Amino acid sequence: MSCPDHRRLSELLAAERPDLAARRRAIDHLRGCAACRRAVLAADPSNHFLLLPEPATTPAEVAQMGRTVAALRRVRALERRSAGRRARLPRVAAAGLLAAGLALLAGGGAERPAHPPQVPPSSVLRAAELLPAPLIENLDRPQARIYQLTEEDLSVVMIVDESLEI
Amino acid sequence: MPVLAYSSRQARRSWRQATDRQLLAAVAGGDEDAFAGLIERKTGPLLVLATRLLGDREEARDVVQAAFLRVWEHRRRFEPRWSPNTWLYRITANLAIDQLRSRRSQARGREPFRWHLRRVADWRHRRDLAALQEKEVARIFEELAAGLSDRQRAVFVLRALEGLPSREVAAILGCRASTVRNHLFSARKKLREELLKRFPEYATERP
Repeated sequence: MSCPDHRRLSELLAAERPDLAARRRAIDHLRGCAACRRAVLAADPSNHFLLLPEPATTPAEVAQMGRTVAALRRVRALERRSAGRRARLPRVAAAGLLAAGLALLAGGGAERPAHPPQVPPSSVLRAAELLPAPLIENLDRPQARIYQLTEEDLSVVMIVDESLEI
Repeated sequence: MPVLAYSSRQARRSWRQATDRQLLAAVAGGDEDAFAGLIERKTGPLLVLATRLLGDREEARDVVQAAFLRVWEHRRRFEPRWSPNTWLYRITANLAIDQLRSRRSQARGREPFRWHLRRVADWRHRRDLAALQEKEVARIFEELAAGLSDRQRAVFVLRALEGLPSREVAAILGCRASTVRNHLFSARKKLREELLKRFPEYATERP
């Protein structure tokens, strides 16, 4: 862009339907040309903010974005799956209660055993057997990781961030 | 010998030639490589937008991540008659505005004015610099834009800084074009007044 066509510059910057490439060229020109900058600022001082830097995005940042979004999608999918299981749980419990009630009605006169049956290992112990949870992914923050614990009908996703102080 | 394997890297490379619309149509159909291509293409522009709306690169990155996640989850809602950029900008801008609101409410509860006063004091020390550096413009913008409403800031960034037409900004923010013009007028007025009042040496550049 030649100098000093300031009016054309101001019109271009304020245009309702600007040619974005021409606009970009005009802003680049503005960064380097003090005379045009003075003229544009005199028209409207808020034009100063046209010189705001455009933060560059590195290829590494783009690649990291892809990995993080993929990890977030996996977490979301697992959450949805476990939410579906939680939603089914009341129905299963209701069916179980109904079956137990029917069994009691059918065998109402049967003699009870003297000692209660042996309690199977608790779910806490079973969960403990599963540890350590397998690591799914390291996140972009230092010391941050995603783990996933999976059992037959339960899946727990843990996001660990050791850098956080609570 | 015929090539039987078709790697995802090859597929991603083929999406580089596609238009935004073709890319989003493929994403709507659940194509993972097209989605990776979309992230590759749009991370830069969306990060610039979110950074300008939020003034913080880290927060902007989180918002763009959330925006891509939302794009994937709502991919079937995209209609081919929509502008892909408008749709992507809309999702990102709305998430950034939500973030601005939550940040404001947290700051209001925790540390009223202290942070702001510290920054003003810091700025008074630096005023006598002859050249206006780009970083300084960014800091001044952050300080003055804090006085705008979230909508005014979003309109100023999209319309004045990104150069989008009012109609497109209206589609992104879900309002009328006349509302966009009103917000832009108010935002410019406030920024101009505050700039003249607080940073008069920057409002008109010395020869």
